[in-house]
Amino acid sequence: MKFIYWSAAVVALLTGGGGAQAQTADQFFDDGVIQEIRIQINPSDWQRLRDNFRENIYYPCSFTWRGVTVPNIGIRSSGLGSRNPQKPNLRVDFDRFEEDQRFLGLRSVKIDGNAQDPTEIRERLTFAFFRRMGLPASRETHGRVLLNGQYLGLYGVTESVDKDFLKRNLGEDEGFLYEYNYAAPWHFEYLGADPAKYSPAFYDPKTHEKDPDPRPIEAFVRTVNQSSDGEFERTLAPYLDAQQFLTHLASETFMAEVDGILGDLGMANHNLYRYQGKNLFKFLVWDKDNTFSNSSRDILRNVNEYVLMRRLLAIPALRDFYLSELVRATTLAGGVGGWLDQEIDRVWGMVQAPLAEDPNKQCPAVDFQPGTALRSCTPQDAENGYQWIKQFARERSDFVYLAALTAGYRPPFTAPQLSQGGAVNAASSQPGLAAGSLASVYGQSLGTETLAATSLPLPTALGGLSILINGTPAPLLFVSPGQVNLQVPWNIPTGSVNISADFNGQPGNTITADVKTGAPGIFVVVRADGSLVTADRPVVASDVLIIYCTGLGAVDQIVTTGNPAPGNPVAGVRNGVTVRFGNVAAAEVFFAGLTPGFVGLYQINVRAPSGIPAGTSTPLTIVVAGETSAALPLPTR
Amino acid sequence: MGKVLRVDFRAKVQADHRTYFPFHLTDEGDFELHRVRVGIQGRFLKDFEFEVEREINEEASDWLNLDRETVGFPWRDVYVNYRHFRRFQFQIGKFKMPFGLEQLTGPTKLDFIYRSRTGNELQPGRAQGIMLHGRPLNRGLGYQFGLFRTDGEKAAITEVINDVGDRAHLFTGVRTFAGRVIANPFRLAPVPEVFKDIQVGGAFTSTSVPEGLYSLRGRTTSKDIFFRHIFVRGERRRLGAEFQWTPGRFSVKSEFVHVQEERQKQGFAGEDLPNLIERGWYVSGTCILTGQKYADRDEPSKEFLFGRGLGAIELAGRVEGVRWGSAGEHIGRPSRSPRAANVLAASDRAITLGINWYWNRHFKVQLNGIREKLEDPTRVPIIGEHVYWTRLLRVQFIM
Repeated sequence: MKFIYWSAAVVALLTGGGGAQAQTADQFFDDGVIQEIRIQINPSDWQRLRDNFRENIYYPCSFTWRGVTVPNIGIRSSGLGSRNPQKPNLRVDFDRFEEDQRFLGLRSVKIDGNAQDPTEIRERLTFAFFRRMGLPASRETHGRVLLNGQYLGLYGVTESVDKDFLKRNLGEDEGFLYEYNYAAPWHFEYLGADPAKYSPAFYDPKTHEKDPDPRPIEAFVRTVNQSSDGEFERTLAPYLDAQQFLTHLASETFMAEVDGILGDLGMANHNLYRYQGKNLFKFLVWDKDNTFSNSSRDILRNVNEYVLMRRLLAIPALRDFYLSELVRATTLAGGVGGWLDQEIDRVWGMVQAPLAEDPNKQCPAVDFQPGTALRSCTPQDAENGYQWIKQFARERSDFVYLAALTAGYRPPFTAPQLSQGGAVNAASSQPGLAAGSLASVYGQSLGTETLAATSLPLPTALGGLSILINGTPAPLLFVSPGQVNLQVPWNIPTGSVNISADFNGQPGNTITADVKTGAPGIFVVVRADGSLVTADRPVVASDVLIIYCTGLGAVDQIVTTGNPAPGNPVAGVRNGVTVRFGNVAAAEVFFAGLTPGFVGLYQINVRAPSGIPAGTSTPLTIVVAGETSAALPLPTR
Repeated sequence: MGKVLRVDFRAKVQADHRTYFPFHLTDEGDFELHRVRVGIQGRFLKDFEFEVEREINEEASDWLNLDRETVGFPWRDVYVNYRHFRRFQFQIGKFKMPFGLEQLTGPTKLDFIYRSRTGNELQPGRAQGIMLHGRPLNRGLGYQFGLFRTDGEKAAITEVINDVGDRAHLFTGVRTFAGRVIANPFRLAPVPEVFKDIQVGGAFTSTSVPEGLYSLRGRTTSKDIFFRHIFVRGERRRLGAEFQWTPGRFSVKSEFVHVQEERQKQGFAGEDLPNLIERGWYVSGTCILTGQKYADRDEPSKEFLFGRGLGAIELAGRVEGVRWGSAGEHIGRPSRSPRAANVLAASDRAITLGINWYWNRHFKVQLNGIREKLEDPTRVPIIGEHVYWTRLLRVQFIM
């Protein structure tokens, strides 16, 4: 074949790398930005796509991202109940017309109008949560989609579950991938020996289309339905990793999915993969815009209707595992100010503006009712949706934890136990913490070793132990079975926080503590030359002292949690600091801020004032943001 | 009925058996009634000729419980020809458009079981229209010029029109103007007699095609598509050249067809795209082993069986090629996209060898072997296989 001109940038993109302008799929799915995607399609094709939005007809177009164009790709309308002509969901196949054509190594992506979600962010948040739970999930970001130069709307840009996804997440791609097709309400009942009743009826082959081999699916379903109780776990093992499956369901349940594997209208919205050369199956998450339905959604809802789930939970050890995974989900999600709460705000902050400008945004007539009719959204729909999921994030963890306890969850003997009131200022051992500062947490079974961190930045797991503050892992300085020293992450807001521990994947209990603007505590006082203050060398007026402390609060530059404080320039505290020797305040405070090179350690450089009362135990205190530290007795003269 | 009306009944039956290597399934299966046609031909009032012919192989196949392809157009020729002036005859109805030597050769008189890919895919076929035609200069020249409603049955596309899979045929092209001129340039020239029946000719068609997936498509012998319809809009023009020479018991035939299809406003931004170009050619030759002249092979003097002879046995061979691609300078990566500016070329080249056995004027048996090679490795019946063999056996009966 003859051709004259190749675009070097297009070549680089199509071959998935190399070259000075090479971009990556990670950049495309960067969830810290709103992408911009331009689609150029013949106007008559676009009209045909809209007119026939229920058909899976592909139309040719070009796709541009960051100035680089991939020509001659195929797009089609996609979705089930969310299909609509105003803002069609689009499946984008880069290899539709050229088998070897790729975009950043990708064969296809899904561009979803999220018609069933007024906020457009529920699915993205759920996928991120699945990954936090250790489960593979599609990467997703958001993008402004311009079609023929006109703003079509804000879309979710999602990685397809295809061979590329399988290779990246499972390490192989030659097995059998199926997409669940909601043909009728089904709860994994046995439908007979004909494999076609399972695939392609419910499981539509996405790989090996010419030799889909559905017999193992029939065998899987038959085993689930017909094996005896005593043999169930053993006979199921070749087909399913039960614990992985229960982790998947715990994640869906925590996120209050109404239209998933345990959907209210039957199984829905997932992919199924059979590993190559085996009969082992893995369920893969997909299409999660009906999550966040209700913070009080029953954690055992629909369990008895679904054969597989019912039989698994009839086994006590697996039931306990399922409940413990739900508890782990509460830990990872956090509550007020936790990871999910903060992540909602972070993502909402990015999508709010382009969503408000979306001229074609669709909303469900009845939220969380799959298949409901669609209508044009109002501005209030998005705001109401945002408030709804915020409330969900703040309430769901507490509800699920209590529900798990009610259902019989008991932290096992080896689970880490934090002591109530056991989170204190590391210097003073007094209640009250401050962001960025050092704290000590006391309890039992907090690990089996005594270890200190040996490198910077500080690790968030040490000896198998993690401490989560509102779902955010805290950097650890020291762990032992009864005590942990840590830095309170800088992004923890003031107020009551939940603190929990996880030891080798085993979650423990949750305690609370107060985080304040300032919670000062004094470690030690030394002179400027580094010598200690002693009875033989007491403090006198005009002595320059260095007070090493913690809990002084916010500083005047960004310091990354777990990382040492900068030295040039140094980070000074924002809050006013008062140092008192007895009742006499120091007039000269040369510096108050983070000690360079240390994590969570502050220092105050001060000159002792005149008029200090003489004594062997003159109380030295620090006052920050209205909070007074515990007094450190100093000999003075 | 005397001098007022004469009616002759006609019937044609062709039964085929096919084998493909490598094996792949086709809609028709291994055995099919390829043609079962009945019709009448005749004349009335001395100056009017007529013909009405209908394909009934669907009904016959269903009756015999055989796999079959859906017939798109059961009514074949339905026309009346006014022939009072031999040099200026006027024909109206449905009949073959004047384009293509092979296309205008009746199915029972073909040298091979199947027409070439050029004949089947690039030439227009039948349409409703009117035509002026004649053989002036003592039949040394022939002309046909006609105006037709569509661009012919072979350019029609098939669409599924409902959920149960019913199909409808959609004609592409409107108001087609077609013309053909043939000549025997050496008829009156001082050349050896053997050269006097050399016939050359040229033909054209011109039609307007509306916007849509209406380009001509490419299919293999087994009717697998190796070039799908792409978006076109504008003029579709065909040019054809033909050559025929039948000295004694030999024949040599050749055709070349060039088709150009405009793609106005078919780009993603509504811009014009380079024209789609289709080109096809073949060269064929036959040799009658039993001594008859080529023109007499259909009615051998010593018929097989009852004539106690062998009938006529003929060897035939054909090489051919057909190709789709873009016109002009090729910009951008070639693509199979139906809106590609640079259309990825696709071609099918074939060699056919055959034996024809004419028993008598009613029965003929043909055996063909076809070797096809496809250019595009992804647009093939079996991915990874470029080369396909087809073995064909046909038994034909006509009356």
